[in-house]
Amino acid sequence: MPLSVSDHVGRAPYMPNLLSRLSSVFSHAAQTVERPIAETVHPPTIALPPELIPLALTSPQEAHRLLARTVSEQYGPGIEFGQDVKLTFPLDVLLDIPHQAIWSADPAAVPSTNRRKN
Amino acid sequence: MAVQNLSHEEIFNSHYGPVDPGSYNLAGYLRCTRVRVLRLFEALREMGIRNGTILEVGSLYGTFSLALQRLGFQVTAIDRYDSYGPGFRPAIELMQRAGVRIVSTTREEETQILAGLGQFDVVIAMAVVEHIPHSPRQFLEQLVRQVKPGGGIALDTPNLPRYWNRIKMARGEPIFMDIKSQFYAELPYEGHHREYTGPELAWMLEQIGCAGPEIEYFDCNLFQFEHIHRPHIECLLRIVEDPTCADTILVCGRTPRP
Repeated sequence: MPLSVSDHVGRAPYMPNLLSRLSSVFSHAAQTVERPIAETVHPPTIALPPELIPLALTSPQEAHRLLARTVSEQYGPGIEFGQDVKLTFPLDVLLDIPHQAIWSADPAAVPSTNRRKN
Repeated sequence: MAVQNLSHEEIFNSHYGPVDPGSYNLAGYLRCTRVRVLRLFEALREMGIRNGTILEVGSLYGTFSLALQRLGFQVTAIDRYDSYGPGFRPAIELMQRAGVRIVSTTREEETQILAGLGQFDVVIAMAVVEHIPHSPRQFLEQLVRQVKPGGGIALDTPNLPRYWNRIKMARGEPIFMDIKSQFYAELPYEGHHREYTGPELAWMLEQIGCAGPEIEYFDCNLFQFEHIHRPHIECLLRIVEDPTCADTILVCGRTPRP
């Protein structure tokens, strides 16, 4: 036979205390909602320049080095690209690039740049 | 191609456990390896090493040894060829025709034979350290003993925190090798025992006495695919933000000069 609510309350003497604590929490939550919501702070961003798109898709670590240098010049030392400054990119444009244009040996292919260090 | 006749069983012998033949693409693997060879060659140039003797430990198909020999180095390639099947014969012969010195060993005798090879300008072990069980310390100490004073050592290995592993972990999926393969493998298991991060690899080189190890991250596994898709593009752009998401680490160091 299923237990009724009163059965539970009767067998759990701590229940009134728990309900009191819960109602206190809800009351606090209600007060919190009334407070003004803090504005979300978005990290600064840097857009992937069109001229770096082939490099980003063939030697992404090299594209990172170049963008890290740009971020350092713009924001000063101590500000890290990837950590403090995020990358934005036109994903739809990137998805539309013909595969053969970058990754194949097609005569029109963009040659990979493989410089290791700046 | 010298490795075309290798059977699936010879590539993944019983010590790897059963590996689904459909999941392995040799042509794709070789395309990826070209990128690894190029990165190594560039790293050696950065170190000012353009010629001399190279010892490759764990040369397998000879993709590094053959290319480096053709690029002007005098290469010695050592692997457990005596334990592998006859399918490796064409690859060995191709390396030998190019001038590579082949040293065939077995698991039981390789340590002693390796120690007797003397010292080289450069010692490389590509995609080997992740296969070493227990601790890689003894293996790395042996490698560094084979390097002349002031010579170079280079290792590459899968990058543990690569993008795809982060995706798998976020989904609650394993990042280790397929449990079916490892579970049914004959002992000793020869799959990946442990993968490493770049700083871990550099730290280990320092521990064995190499100065100023340089870490290089790059991504090569995408080259196995005939076409790349949206997730691949997203992976590449993530690497632009954070190179430690790349799938491969190359670390190079030098032994102290006398």
